[in-house]
Amino acid sequence: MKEHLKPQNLKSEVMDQISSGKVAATPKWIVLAKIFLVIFGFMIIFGLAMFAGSFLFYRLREEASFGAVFNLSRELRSYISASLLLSFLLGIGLILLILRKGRLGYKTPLLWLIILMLTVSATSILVLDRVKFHDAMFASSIKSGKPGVGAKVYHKLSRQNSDTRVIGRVVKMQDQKIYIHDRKSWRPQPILVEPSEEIIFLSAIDNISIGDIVEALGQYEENTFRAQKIQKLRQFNPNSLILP
Amino acid sequence: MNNFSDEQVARQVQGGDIEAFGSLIERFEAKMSRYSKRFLIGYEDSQDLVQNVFLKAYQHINSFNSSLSFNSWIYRIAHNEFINFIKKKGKEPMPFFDGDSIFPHPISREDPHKDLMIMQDSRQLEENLHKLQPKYREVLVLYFFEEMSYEEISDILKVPVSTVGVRLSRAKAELSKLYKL
Repeated sequence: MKEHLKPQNLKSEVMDQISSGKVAATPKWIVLAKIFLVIFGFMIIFGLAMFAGSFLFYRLREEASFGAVFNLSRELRSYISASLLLSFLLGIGLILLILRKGRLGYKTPLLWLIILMLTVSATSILVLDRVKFHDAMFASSIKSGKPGVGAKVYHKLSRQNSDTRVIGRVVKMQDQKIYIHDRKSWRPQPILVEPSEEIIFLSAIDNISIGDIVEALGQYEENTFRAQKIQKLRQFNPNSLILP
Repeated sequence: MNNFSDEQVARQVQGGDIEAFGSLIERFEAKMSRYSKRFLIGYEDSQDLVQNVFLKAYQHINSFNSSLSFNSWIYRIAHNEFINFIKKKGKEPMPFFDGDSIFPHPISREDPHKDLMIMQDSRQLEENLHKLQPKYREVLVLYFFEEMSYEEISDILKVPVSTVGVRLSRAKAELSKLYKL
């Protein structure tokens, strides 16, 4: 008897809650706004992923140790970097696919949590790298002549390289002296680079002009960098996805 | 109102006709009650959950796309509600990973004799249902009691059709074992 009465109660109870205003339908504009936010969020994540991908590609190609260890050409470094990056993205895609397919058909916050974590991590890396490890370092180094607070860890890691290598844009030229703006160095900018006696000109100094990106290898003598090797580098765009 | 399809009535509700929602409740209350009783076998308060299903359906009525099936949509809401309830109660294991989806196996050939045996002895089926894992129990309920197709079940559970086949096949195998005991 009780079973027969239940359905009637059910309808009246639901309709009572609706007509009393306790339960209201979500307005259409909120539904549309949610859809818009999802699409917009996806576009932002996609754009961020593209940016992070191109940035990682650039960093791998220019600075990854495999290039120096195996003395690879720029083209080979590009292909290996692209392959590594692609493998990394495929790995993430596979994990997400397994998580997506592994669900028992009900909503789980875990998938969204992972996506959120990835996004936050990528953003943090970019922000830290772009703001703290470069601009903050540069600003504080001008004042104190020492590495900036935010740049200490980064500086420690790259100290070996930064003491023997200057890489950056030529901002001033005077006779055989070149002033280079090295964004990674904590020394006062721009750095005065003078050819040492053992200089090997890989590209003639006459070919170097203001605005060029050059790399100098050598050693510091006080505030002057004595270069044993100077070469002009190809102009690069860190945000470009196009292989050279 | 009886001449209208479920989707047409839902469109009227979207237009602000609250009474039309009463008509939808009448159409689906028996189905939802049956689904909840068999899926949530051994649980109390299943009728309260059915009420929640209708309240949620009304709350989200504007997100329903009336060019799609209302039947699948409301079953999807019910599925989410029931699964959350089972998880909350914690009486049955609800693993995050589902091997049936991650490592799909070919669907075994349908055995009409086995199906007939299961359907004919529905009383014993109900007795054995609660011994199955929820993911197997649910496909059996939707397939045998709600008489849904693989595609409809796939749409409700949001899993591939092949996974529905695998789960159904394994559920039947599990049931056969229980019958033999």
